[in-house]
Amino acid sequence: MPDKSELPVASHLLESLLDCDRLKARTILDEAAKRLGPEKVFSNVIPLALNSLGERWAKGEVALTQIYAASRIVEEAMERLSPNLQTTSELKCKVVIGALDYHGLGKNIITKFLRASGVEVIDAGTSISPERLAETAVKNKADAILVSALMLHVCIQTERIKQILASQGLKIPIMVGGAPFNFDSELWKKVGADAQGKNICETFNELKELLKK
Amino acid sequence: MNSFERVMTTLGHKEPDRVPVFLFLTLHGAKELKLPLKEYFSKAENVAEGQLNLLEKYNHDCLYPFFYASKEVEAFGGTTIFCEDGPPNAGSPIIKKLEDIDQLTCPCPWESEALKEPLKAIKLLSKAKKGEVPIVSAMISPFSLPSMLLGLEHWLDLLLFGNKAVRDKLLDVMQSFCVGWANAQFEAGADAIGFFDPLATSDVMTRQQFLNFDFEIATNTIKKIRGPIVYAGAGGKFEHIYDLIPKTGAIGMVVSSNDNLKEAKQLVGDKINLIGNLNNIEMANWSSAKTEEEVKRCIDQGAKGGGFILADQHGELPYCVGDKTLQKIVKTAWKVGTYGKKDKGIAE
Repeated sequence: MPDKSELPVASHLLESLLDCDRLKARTILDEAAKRLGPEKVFSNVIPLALNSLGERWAKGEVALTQIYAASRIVEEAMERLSPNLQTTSELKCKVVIGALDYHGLGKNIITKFLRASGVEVIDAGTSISPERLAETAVKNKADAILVSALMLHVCIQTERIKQILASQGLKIPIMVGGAPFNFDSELWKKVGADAQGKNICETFNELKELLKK
Repeated sequence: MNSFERVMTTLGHKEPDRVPVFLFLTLHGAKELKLPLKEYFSKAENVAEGQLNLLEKYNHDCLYPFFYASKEVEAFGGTTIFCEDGPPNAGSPIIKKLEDIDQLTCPCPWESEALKEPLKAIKLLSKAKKGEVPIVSAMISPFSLPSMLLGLEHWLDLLLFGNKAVRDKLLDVMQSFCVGWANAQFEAGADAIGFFDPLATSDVMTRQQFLNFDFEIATNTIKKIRGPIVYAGAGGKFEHIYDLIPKTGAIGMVVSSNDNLKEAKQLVGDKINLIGNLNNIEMANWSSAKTEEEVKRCIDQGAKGGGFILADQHGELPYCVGDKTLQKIVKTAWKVGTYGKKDKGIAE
């Protein structure tokens, strides 16, 4: 649990993330790491700021640029301050993520946030076939498959992943994300997915639910 | 009243005989000609014939000889990846490193091999239907085009964290290209151009970021274009900049299905024409009743007083949207979108 001294730091960090101010965020994080230690920064300060950012994203109050900037800032901080730090995560799992088309931004943002939350993420890349994505998940014994798609005609390929897994007698939960799913709230069910992640918060929460099943 | 007169009347914020309907069909032309998409888009004659067939089939109010967004990437030396049932995509970004921006030159649309066919398609349609049916084309805005030339992540990196001089140099080239490309399309016979700026939407940028980075370049670009421009977000929301879009010089704005059309009409309906806002993604699964309901909603919310065109919210209908839905959209618009009738259609 974060203590009182960490709350103002998280609040300042959030402010800098919303401003996409990388230098200010770096200063805040570096000073906090010196004062509190990197463990507390990564276990308490960053998750607090990211949770708040994620909640605002879910309400439509922040834009993609702010989310992208935050993902870059947190990724840099991890590399700079604690390359070998084991974060304490409430979500211990291994997922495979891939984009079925050529648009990788959403996939990359989710990857950075999940990694910052302690999830082991295997990035299968962009423009990956359903066959390859299913194969990567099986080979790595993934707990879930995260599918990203920006174009309607590729969303439908999600069903193929499920079929491939079923043909091997396997069932790995599949979560989808991407613009077409946000325009058609039933689309994730139509393509045979087990859940939809509209944003970071939802992805994180839905993943927790899926892994309980 | 023909389609051209109908559209011009509504664009003048007056009520025509009925609400004009634009079906933004690009890929469906290939289906009409029974050609694979790559072959279809290889010749202007195919696209012109496809558009004329679609016009006759659906009886809507525009011709839309837009090929695909990656045509502009091809003009800069990039490639396009085709698939069987969806819009073509840009290949690998042509700007691999920031130093490449120094060498970037602006292609001339009339001399570009990539843009030759789109310009020819506009000319062919202009010859066939000028003054009868509006010819609507499209372009990517100078601010959004770099996302295809560099890749979106690299463009965001340069924009948010990068060197301002490099960014300005890139945007200068983008602006020169966009002005030239738009004016070439008007010269070829286009009547209006959709100015696609998805990065300006609230899904991607805040209002302050739009003001800091995009507004000035969009305004300066539109000022130099010799024809009417419609601001489009490719499905993204403009609610955060409703008041700013008319100030760019655009005469129209495409409204997202996630935006509130009624609210947009109340806030800026007297300053700018509204186009939309049928959900092009959901549409693939609409029943006849749902189609009718959605068309009625749009007309109820946007059509009063003119200044409104019924269309999808994106500027491109997915390949999988079928004949029945498209026909139902037009039929319903004709039925409920007649102006000046109190018993049916739009009440005075």
